[in-house]
Amino acid sequence: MTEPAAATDGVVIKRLEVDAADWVDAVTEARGAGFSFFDWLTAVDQTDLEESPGLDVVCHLLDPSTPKALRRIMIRTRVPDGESLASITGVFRGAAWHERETHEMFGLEFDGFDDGTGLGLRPLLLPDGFEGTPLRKSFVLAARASKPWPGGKEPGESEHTKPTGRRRVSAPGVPDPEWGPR
Amino acid sequence: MAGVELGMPRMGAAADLAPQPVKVVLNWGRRYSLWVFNFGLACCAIEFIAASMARHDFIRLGVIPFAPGPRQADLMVVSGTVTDKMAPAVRRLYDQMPEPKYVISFGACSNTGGPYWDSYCVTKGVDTVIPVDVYVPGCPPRPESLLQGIIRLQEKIAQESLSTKVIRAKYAGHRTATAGEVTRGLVTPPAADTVTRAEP
Amino acid sequence: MDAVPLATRLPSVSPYVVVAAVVVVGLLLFVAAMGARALIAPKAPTRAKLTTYESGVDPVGRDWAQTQIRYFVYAFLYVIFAVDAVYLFPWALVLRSTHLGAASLVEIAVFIGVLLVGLVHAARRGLLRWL
Repeated sequence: MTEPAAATDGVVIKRLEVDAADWVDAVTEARGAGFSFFDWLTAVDQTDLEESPGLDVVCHLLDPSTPKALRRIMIRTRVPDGESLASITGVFRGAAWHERETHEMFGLEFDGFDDGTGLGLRPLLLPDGFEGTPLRKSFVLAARASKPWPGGKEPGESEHTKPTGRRRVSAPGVPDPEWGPR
Repeated sequence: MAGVELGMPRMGAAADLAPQPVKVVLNWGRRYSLWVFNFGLACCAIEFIAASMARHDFIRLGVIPFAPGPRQADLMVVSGTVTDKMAPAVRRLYDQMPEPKYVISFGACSNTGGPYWDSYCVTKGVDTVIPVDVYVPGCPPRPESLLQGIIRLQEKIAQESLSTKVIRAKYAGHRTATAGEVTRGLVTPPAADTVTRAEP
Repeated sequence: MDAVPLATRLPSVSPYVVVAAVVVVGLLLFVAAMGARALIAPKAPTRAKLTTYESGVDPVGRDWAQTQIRYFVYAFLYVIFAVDAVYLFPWALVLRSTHLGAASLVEIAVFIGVLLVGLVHAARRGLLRWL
C-alpha cells in the first residue's frame, strides 16, 4: 500500500488513496482498524483528465465505537477505464448493492462479486431495457434534443442576464446542437 | 386473454336523454364530492399534505376522503417527480380508476419534468402518460395553489356535459392504440463526419 | 286546534308492519340508487382497468387467497370473553328483580360451564400464555 497523503480534513474525515491492486487489502485493514460500518461506495468519472484518466472508486467507512465522536475514513482508488476492480463483498456484505449501482451507472466491473444469490453483478435501480451508463460524462442527456426547451439552459443564456463574456463551457452530457431538436 | 369483447365506452341508457337540469345537478354532485387519490411521489406530496391540513384544508372544498385505492377515487393528484420506472404504475393506476375521472398535475416535475427535465430517468411531464385536466405550476406550489387548482377543476366540471360521444372521445383514445404500439425510435446521434461544431 | 290527539286519529298499525315498511323502503332506496347508476353512469371497461389492483404493477400470483384456519383462535377467544360478558351483564341486572329464581342461576351456571370448557381447551393449547 502506498503511503497515502493521509491528510485529515480537520478532524472529520481521514482520506486514503490506494492503488487499485491493493483495494481489498486497504478496506480489510480499515475494517480491522475499527472502521466496521460500511457507509457507501461509489465512483467518480475522471476519464477526461490528462494524467492517469480513469474512474475514481471511493469507499466511506465509519468507526461506530464512540457514538459521539465518529471516526470516518474515505478510501479512494483510481481504476483506468476499461479495467475492473476487486469486489469488497467479501469484506462488507452490504457493499453488494453499492457495487451493483456503480456497475450500472459507470460500467465498472467488479471481480469476485458475490451477494449470496448467485445472480452476479446486475442492475439495481435503472428500469429494464435501459441502455447505457448514465453517470459517465460521455453519456449524452438527450432531453434537450428530443424537444425544444424554452428559456436559458446554461448559465448566461437567458435573455434576462447580460452576457458575461465568459467562454461558454459545454457541460459533460449536453448534446451537440446537431443532435436536435430537428 | 382475447375473447371477451369489452365494448366501447358508453354512458348509461338514460344519460343522453337526461334534461339539462338533471345534468346540472349531477355535475354539482360530482364536482363537490371529489374523492382524491393522492399520487404523492416527492416534495410536492408534502405540500399536498399541507394543503389537506388545518390551515389550508382542501377538505372544505368537498375533496374527501382520501381514497384508499384507485377504484374508489375520481380525482388523481400526481405530485412529485415521475420517473421512467414509475410511469407504468401511474398509467396502470389511472386506468384502474372508474370514469368519470380527473387528473391534477401538481408541481413542476409532473407538469414538464421540472428542474430534473435534463435527467436520464425523469418522465418529462406526467401528461406524456395520462391525460391531465389541470396543471398547477410551482416548485413546490403553495397549498393555496392547489386550492386554486381544485376550484378551477370544479369550474371545469360544472361546464361538462357527459354524453356517450364526449366520453368516447375522452376515454377511447387508448383503444385505438396502446402505449406500447405508439413508440418512437431512439434518437440516433448524427454520424461523426457530418458534425461541425459551431464556434461560440 | 282539535281536542282529539293525532295518535288516536291515525289508524293503529302493528309494529311488525312498520318494520316491514322500513325494510321495503330500504330495498327501494337501494334499487333506485343502483338503477340510476345503471342508467346514467359511464361504462368504459378496458383490459388494464379490469386487472387486479396491486399498487400499479402487474399482479403476481392468484387473486384468491385463503385465510389460514389457525386464525380461528382469535374468534374463539373473542367469543369466550366478549360474547359471554354481553349475556352476563343483563342477566345480572334482572336476576333479582324479576324473580327468576334458582333455576335461572343453574341455567347461567350451565352457560358459563360451556364457556369454561372452551377456555380450558384454549389454556391447554397454550393460547393464554403471554409469550
